[in-house]
Amino acid sequence: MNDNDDRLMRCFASALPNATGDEIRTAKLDAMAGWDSLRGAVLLAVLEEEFGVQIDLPELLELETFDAVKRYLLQQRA
Amino acid sequence: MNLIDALERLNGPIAENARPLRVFLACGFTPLHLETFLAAHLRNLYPAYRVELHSGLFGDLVGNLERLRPEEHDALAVVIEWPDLDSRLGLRTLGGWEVEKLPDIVNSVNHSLERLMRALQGLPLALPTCICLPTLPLPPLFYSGTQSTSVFELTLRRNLASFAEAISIGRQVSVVSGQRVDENSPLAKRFDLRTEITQGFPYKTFHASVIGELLAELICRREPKKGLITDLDDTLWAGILGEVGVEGVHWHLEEHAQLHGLYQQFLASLASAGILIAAASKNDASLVDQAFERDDLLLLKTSVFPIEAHWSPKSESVQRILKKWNVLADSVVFVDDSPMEVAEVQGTFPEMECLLFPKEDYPAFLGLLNHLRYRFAKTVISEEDSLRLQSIRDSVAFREPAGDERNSLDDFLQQAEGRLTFRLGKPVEDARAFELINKTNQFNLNGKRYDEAAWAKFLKDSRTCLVTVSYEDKFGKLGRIAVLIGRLADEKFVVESWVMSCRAFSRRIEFHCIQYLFEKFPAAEIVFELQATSRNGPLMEFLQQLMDGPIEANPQLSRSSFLRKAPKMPHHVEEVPADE
Repeated sequence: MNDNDDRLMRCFASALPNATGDEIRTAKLDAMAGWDSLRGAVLLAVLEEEFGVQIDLPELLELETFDAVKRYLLQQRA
Repeated sequence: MNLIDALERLNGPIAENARPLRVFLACGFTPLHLETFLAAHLRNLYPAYRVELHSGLFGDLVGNLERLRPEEHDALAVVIEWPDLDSRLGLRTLGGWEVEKLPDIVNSVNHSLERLMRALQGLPLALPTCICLPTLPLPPLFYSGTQSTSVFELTLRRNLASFAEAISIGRQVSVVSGQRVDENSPLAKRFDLRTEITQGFPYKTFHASVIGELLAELICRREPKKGLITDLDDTLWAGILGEVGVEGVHWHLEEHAQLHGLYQQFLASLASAGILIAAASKNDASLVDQAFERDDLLLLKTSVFPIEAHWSPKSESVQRILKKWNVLADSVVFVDDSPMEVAEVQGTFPEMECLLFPKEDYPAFLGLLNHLRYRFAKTVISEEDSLRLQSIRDSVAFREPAGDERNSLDDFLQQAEGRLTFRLGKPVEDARAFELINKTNQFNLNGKRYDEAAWAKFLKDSRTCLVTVSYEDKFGKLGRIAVLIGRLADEKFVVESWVMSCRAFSRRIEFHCIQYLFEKFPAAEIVFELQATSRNGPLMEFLQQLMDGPIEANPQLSRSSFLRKAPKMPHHVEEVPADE
């Protein structure tokens, strides 16, 4: 696991404390334990703070998965 | 603290038996990250508590306060932003900014402030409340441009300030310092239009953290320090007294010594608020005496006690000062311009805060004053604050009776013409009992502390009683110096908390307290909910005098045993109603 993975996992785990590591890596965002619009707003803010990017909630929801979010962040920072 | 740290702090484990700390966050916007930061900062300050934060409906600050059930909360944090007073002062509604509407906006804000005032006044006095006035910029709605302040804006700000002044007088309401907000949160890091429009949350996470921290600090006030020990040469004044003489030391602007004058002015201000000030200086004592006679000194000699001027190590001076004050090292701040002296005192008293006086560093000097103001912060100045120094001078005389009096404490106390006043009852607005319980260490039955919420609950509990004790004698007034909390149960009086100010030691006031309980309550025995702490040796020694054998858990003292062992009690005693 590289540094970006760790950081992203930390973001997901802090915003979705009820979701397991496996769940975060494999499940769709809106299927993760504890997911709701409030958690979405929290995840959004944490990602923005940690990675210095700006994302809108609908955009994040379209990404659907942890891996897709990771790819998106890499593109944004490229 | 950033958001991820705050979330991880909140996601961390909590002890199963942790007591709840229930805080209502009243705001008109979505509390979102402000709620997170406030809870996380509270968790840092109250690690033994389970912080529970509640908030109300979006867009209805006043309604949230009107619907609040105060009995369900331990503290209240109110965060006001301009749109809460009139939605046209925000950017989520489109009510119009035409010139003819501006007077109506001002009127509407006034109306909201009046409603807010009524809602807050309807809450119990005992509910600890802190308020944060608007911290976000007004939108560009005034025709006078952004380079000048519109008369409408001036009116809005004046009315807001009047509201804050009115609500903070006579209530347990603390208003977040606007200056601290300005220092900690630059204007550009406050408002987030995107999240305001998309999520109804107007704060950037940085600003939310700052506001959360300031609110948490007000909800959980730290105990102020009790005394400051200062060096003299190149600290209280510029120059070395032994080298330049009494007229050669300076503290005025024209002598390029303004920082020392400001420091004197600051210490005089602390002294007037009841903070103990002492001096520790490697110096010739007679010269120091003469210097303190200079009539242009801003810190009066009478405000400084004791003055330790000799050539012994500073740590010895500090030790003697602590003994005379009868306070512990962790309640005291030491200030000296010499890094070596600061290190020597710090090495001897690791728990004392030892600070360097930055005599040539202007920003650091201002930082020192701000830091000291923070360390010695008080919410109210009581009558006892003005009496503290004199009573300590007097208590030194009590502990060190001179000449023939040394052999007869009975006679000495008798001649003191002491008068004790007992008050039985729970006046809600009396902050002194709360303060004494929470800051007394040495004569303290068990070290039990009350936060504001627990105190409010205690005041409402009809099963318990509160006794406060005041003392004065021919040397002067000590004011309220002891607090006792207890309950009557099965012909026993159970003492749950008992504290007495160290200023009142050596006067047998503690014996009078027990005598009062036996006389006032139909109890054959008094049970003490004793808990040894690292600091309550004086209380343990006192109880040991009255007990047969070693002290055990929850020791009991019978009336007959007390009468057998109590010494002569020299003071005149009277009882007055609690609200007198």
